[in-house]
Amino acid sequence: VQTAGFDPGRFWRRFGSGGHNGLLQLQYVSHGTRHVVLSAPPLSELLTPDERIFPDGVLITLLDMAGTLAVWTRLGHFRPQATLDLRVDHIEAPRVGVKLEAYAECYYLTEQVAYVRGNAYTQGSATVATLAATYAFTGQP
Amino acid sequence: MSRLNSAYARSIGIRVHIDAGGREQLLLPFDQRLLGRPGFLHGGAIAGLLSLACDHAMARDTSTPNAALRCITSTLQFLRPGREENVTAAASVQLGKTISTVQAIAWQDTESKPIAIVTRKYLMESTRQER
Repeated sequence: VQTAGFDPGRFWRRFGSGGHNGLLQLQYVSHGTRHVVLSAPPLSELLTPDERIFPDGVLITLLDMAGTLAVWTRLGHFRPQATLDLRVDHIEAPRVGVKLEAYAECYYLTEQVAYVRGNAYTQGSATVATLAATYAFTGQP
Repeated sequence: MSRLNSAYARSIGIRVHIDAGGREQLLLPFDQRLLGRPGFLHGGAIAGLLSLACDHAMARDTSTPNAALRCITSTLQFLRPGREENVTAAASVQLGKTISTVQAIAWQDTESKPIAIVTRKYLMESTRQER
């Protein structure tokens, strides 16, 4: 998909391995004109065999980051922003050992604020969580 | 097993801290691998700390094994940017018959200046119906 000036795949290849996204090994999957899909690995390195719980910290980081990239994708360029609030509905506890994907769409954009919704699901099937989030721009357009 | 001993909790470096009043808190020591945009903590790392603080308090106050906790909603408010410093979190539990509410705040300077606040709702095990 061609987007005007911001390519989340390229951005991720350049910056996605740093900081917290790198620690959690989040991956770019795909994008459209106003949405982005990221994935989290089955977390073999982050989990011991007796753990059955997918950490909410990973789930929420994945959703937040997909939302962040969705805003820049719709905007067409990078602009510094901060997460204002996140609402996550935990529909089903994700199982350990499955790859989780998150789809986030920037459905409305103003001068100062971006509105995002999204969901996380296991590959090809069940929704495990939904997201409603707002982001505030902290830098110049 | 406690979620504080989980590989995720260990990977972000969570530690239990008892404050001067004997209250249990969680400490997230600063690490480069917690950063989002340069110079600031990732909102997801702060969310991870707050989720663990709620889970831990809920497990303790209800004597529920961590694996059996069922969180149904998380509402997070970010109030201030997280700087390159340690973060502390404290949680309080409001027990209900069918649903319990747990709130937690995360701060760096002082507790009265939180960087983030979360409210998480949990289904009480006694009323849960497995699908």
